[in-house]
Amino acid sequence: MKDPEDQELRRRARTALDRRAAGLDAATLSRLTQARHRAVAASQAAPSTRWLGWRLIGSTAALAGIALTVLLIGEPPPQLPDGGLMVSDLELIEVDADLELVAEPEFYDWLAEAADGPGDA
Amino acid sequence: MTFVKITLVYVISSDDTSEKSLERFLAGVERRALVTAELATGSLDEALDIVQDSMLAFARRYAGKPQGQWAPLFHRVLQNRIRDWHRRGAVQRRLFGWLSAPSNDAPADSPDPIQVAPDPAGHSPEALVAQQHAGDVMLDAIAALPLRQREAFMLRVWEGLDVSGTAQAMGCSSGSVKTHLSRALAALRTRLQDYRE
Repeated sequence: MKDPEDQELRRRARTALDRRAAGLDAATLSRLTQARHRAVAASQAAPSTRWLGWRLIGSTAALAGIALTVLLIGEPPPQLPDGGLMVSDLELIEVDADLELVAEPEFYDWLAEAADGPGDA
Repeated sequence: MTFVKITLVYVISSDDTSEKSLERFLAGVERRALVTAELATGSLDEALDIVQDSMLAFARRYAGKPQGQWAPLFHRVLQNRIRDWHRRGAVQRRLFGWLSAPSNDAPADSPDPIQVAPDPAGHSPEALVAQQHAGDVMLDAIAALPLRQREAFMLRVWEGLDVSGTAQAMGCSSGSVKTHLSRALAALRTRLQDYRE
């Protein structure tokens, strides 16, 4: 609960202040208007350009992300031209052979001679 | 492409709206800000510089904030500028009061023609002079308040900010706002007891 005397004091103060604000001359008001326009222009110049830049960057990044996701999901998994080939390769690997013998060139010569021979091995 | 177009339209239209809102807000507070700075500095020119700096700083830093926060933020910027002005050694200027200094030097501070013109309501010149004098005495008393008391008084009584908004603008606690306001009212009562209407 405010004191009535305080309320009257506040009212008189507001009246005096309002009167002063309303009584500002034209030159002062003109300077205020110019200052206001400069402030509004300053708020629009830098920040809006910054915002626009960030939003464009964000939009581009989002679009790139979407495109990448679509590409990754849409692309079929890598497939072998022939599934059987893979099995035969595995069989070769699993052959129980002497690797030192395979690496020896004379072994291939002997193998060729044995194949060309009469078959009396 | 459509997404980018929609984004651009949104950005441009929202900037346009915020520009108008900012213009409206500043137009609504600039006169009171000027009188507040004038009471604090005792000089209309200094007050204009302070208000111009405050509007620029506010627009650059806080225009993107929600509009509900604009009033306390603007007054915080304004009060900081006024305090900076005082810190720069303007105590001497305060001693001369805001009414005595500019009357002869600055034509811009001459009496407003509207106030000098005959009152359509029929008030007599004597009544107007008495009213004007009472107003001047009131303004003089407010100008003579200590800095923090005047801040609390102006923000609460004239700007109509609530206690929390005033505390935000002054950068202090709500309790301090109440204390400063109470002391300001007491000081004004004492000063104005000879000028009761």
